[in-house]
Amino acid sequence: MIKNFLFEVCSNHYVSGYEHTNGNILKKYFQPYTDSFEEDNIGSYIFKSTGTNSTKIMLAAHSDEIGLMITSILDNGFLRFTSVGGINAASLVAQDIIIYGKESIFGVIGIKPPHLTPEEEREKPLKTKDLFIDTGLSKKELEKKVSIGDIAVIKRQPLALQNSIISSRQLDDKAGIAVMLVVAHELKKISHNSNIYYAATAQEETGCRGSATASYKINPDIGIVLDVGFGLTPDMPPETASLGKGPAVAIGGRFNPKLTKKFIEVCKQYNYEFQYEASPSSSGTDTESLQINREGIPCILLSIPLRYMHTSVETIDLKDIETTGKAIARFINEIDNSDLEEILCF
Amino acid sequence: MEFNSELMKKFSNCFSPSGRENNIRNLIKEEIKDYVDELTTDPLGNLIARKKGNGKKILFSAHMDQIGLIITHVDEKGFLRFSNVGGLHPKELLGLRMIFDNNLEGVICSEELKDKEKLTMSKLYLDVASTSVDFVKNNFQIGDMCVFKSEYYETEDCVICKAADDRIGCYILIEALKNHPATDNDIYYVFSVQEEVGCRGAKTAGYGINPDIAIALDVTATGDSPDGIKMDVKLGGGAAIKLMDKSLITHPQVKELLTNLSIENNIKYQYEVLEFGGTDSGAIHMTRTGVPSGVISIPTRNIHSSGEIFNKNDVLECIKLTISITKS
Repeated sequence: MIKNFLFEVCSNHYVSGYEHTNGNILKKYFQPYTDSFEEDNIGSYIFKSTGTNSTKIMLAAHSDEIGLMITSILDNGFLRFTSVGGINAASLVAQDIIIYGKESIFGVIGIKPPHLTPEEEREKPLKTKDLFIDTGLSKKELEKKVSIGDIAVIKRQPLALQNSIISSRQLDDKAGIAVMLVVAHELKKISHNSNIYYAATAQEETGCRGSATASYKINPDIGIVLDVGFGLTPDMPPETASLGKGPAVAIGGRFNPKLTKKFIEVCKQYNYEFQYEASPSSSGTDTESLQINREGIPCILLSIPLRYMHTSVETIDLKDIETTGKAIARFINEIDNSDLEEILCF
Repeated sequence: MEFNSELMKKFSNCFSPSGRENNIRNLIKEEIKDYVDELTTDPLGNLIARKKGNGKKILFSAHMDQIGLIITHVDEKGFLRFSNVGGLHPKELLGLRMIFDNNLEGVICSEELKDKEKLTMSKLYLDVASTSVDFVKNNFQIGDMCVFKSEYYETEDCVICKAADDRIGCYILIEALKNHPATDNDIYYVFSVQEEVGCRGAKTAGYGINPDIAIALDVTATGDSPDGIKMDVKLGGGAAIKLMDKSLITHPQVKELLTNLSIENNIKYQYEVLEFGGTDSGAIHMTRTGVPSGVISIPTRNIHSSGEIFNKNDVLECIKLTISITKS
């Protein structure tokens, strides 16, 4: 189920601000496990599974992906663009592009031939403003189909690598959405007393915006934020979380220490693998806005280890999604059977 | 509709840096009091003018504050050190004349530097033209603010002035208010405070009003100056409909609304994608459960300088677009 979901969702586009365009796919997967659906006013989707008590638990994973936005149609027919969310320009070179104008148009991002690029220029970092998209169309033809402000993404289909590893664009944070789906699936089996809200939050990549408005709307007692975290590669610090070893549990000022401790206890008790991730100041995730929304929402952050973040080849292990989802379902079950106020009390 | 130069000149010359919006608020109050159903000032100082209706709640916002400097230290020799209120770069300050609320003036000077490229705010000071330390100490103290001193000037089609950011937005709202059409919509014209230091007024005004849709009016950069930034907006190109900046991705329905209204009403418009900066809509669209928001931008060269330049026809197009939204 998880692999099917991810392959389907990652084959569509969800650029920040335009998440609703393919929102029906999220509905298709979540509605069988939930009782009601609502939206905030800037594009977040909220699926609710009603419980038997008054406790509200909000799960949040962001629905948006980084992308491109057209800024200019040049006289010679090339398109200039800017990034929506943080993108390293080097990761855009030699990529296929789809532009969502009046119709979908293919393009490519090229680069000057090495023959004509002096050594010192090759060593300089590329900048997005120096790149352009080539569609093959003339300016006149383009103007009929594309306008400034249209969004675009790298054209890339999800790819199953060996073992349970998959690679795709926008696994940040469709991996988190997939975790929510596992939780919904698990809770259907074991039932729950708390009201569970699965929030697919909009515009995280441009400043954790949808999580502010969605959490205001839900007004939950606690928040469980699911995002991706840096996964270990040879060029990363050795303490980085590894793929296939469970979620990285964030430790830091943003996260409620007692709730975090409770989650770790549950993982230990039920043998769910987990790792730690130190997050001393800013985590750059939806916890940023949840923690300080309304009177404050006690949060935990669980990160699915992911390699090559913010590129079109983001890589994760499906096992981590399964482990994280199951651990959260068990965690919710434990909360249902204990006094939440006591857990949260400092 | 003619461009009201006298009104804009008065607004541009009005001393009101962020957090000190009293003068401009009084000026605007006086200007609009006969045209509104309700006029209130909220706890942060936002001036909120309402035209009542039973329909959609529409919030327009233009900020009253301007960038300036705040005195941080008066030294033993009578020179003033300062910090910036809003986005200012030290290199662009050197040599400028500044004016305080009490009409005293000064000029921005730099300590002797071997490398002018390394100029920082801490190397700058304000010389208030007095050899009497007593005079300085009696007239200036920590916390006093000053703004650019520069003359309002206009040609047939353009204006040069300070604080066009965002007094021109205030000007547009006032013209729209004076020409308010018959509509069921419940319209709030917000003249906000402290935009330049983080869209603070808009945040509380948005929360208080809780609108169905919000539109900010503010200046935006242009790509039409020699070897300038790469963007498609230009002076004389009409009202700029913002699609994205660092604070906002315009809600797709708002983009569609503004585009359709422009086409239906023959309003000259251009799309804008700004790769930096933000406006009141950035703060408003995240209040409560979210507010679909957009921005009508006035293309402006040299933003945050003492000589901001905009085109009078663009302003008229922005007014037309604003009015068309009130009855949409």
